[in-house]
Amino acid sequence: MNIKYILWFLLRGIVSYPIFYIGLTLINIFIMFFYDIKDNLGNYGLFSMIIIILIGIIYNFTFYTRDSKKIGIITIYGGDIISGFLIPFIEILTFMIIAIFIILITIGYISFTAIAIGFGFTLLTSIIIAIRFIFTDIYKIIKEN
Amino acid sequence: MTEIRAISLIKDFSTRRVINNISMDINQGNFILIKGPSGAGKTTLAMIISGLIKPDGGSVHINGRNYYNLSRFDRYKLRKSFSYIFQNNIFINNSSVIENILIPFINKKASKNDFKKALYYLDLFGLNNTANKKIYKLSGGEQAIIGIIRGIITEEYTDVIIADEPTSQLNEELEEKILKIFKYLNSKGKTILLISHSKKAELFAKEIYFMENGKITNYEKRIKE
Ligand SMILES: Nc1ncnc2c1ncn2[C@@H]1O[C@H](COP(=O)(O)OP(=O)(O)OP(=O)(O)O)[C@@H](O)[C@H]1O
Ligand SMILES: [Mg+2]
Repeated sequence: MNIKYILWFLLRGIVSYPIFYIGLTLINIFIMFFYDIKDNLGNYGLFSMIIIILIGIIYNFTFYTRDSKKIGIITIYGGDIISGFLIPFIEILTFMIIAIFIILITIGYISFTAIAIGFGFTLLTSIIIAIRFIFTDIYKIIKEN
Repeated sequence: MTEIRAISLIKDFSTRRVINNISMDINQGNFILIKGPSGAGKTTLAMIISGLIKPDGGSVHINGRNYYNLSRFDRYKLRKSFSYIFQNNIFINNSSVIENILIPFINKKASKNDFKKALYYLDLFGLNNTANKKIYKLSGGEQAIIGIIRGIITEEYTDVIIADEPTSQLNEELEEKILKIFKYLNSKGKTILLISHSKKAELFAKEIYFMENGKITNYEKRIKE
């Protein structure tokens, strides 16, 4: 596993798919920000949290499915199950950190629990994406995409 | 070191037997050429031997371990010794040439020379001005060369290079250049498994297998090891 290259590819990827990464940042901002204000929303607070997290999971899963050829190729050239998990994880985590900074700059406050929830979201989506790779035939992925 | 022993391989696609009872030993440092008509099963055989397609019968032993019976985790570990040059250009289409070449390094140790090496190979084929172009903007032949560079650039980390008709889209001059690179890598101890229709390739191989209808119909040992 080579973090330097993962980040280099991520930077290149941002240039190729800027819209996706902007979307990912927004989702992270919403998840963490909504958690902090959810009590102000009364009964709808928890409900909107769940909806946003679900949208986030579907959003990431769709993107990484579309991008599966990339992870497939990485896996074929010396990768393993860990790369199938770590690559999406590092990418999503990067944008979670960016989201934290954006919240801190614009709103000036973020709770520790909100960050924990953001992290849980990052972990959960990465695991879902990794499971997809573990249970599919990598050669098929790269041939059929 | 990676020693491969394939025993009585069988592979069916729907009702068609594509690989029909093939056995093969590939020792480290061999240079094997597989020839045969289109549809003979060459690609399928190479992919089974190198751990990418599970056979329906028979077994592949890599360093004495029954590869397809191992856990996914162990299989991935063994596969790190293989590098591939695919018959169909398989790339991340929306990415640049240099990204496509360097992608195997995600799973290797970082070194300052990786970029230099990539640029060296691009230069060798007169493609240095394409490094930052999107891969899909290159011609078929140029893409084939990028696929070859990606397959050999990590040679110091791999034992076996599978090259599936790497030069079928290239002219003779380029073909010779690439065969010479394979020969050089082979002289450094790498195993080369080459699928090719070319006459020239026969001069480079140590062993030649002829395939037809999923069977080995002929075998020739060229150079005594
Ligand atoms: N995924 C697949 N599903 C169904 N049939 C397949 C599949 N892959 C290969 N085949 C069939 O298996 C047979 C052998 O294919 P293979 O690609 O191994 O041949 P080949 O010798 O490499 O041919 P070529 O010289 O054209 O590359 C062909 O008849 C092909 O149609
Ligand atoms: Mg073929």
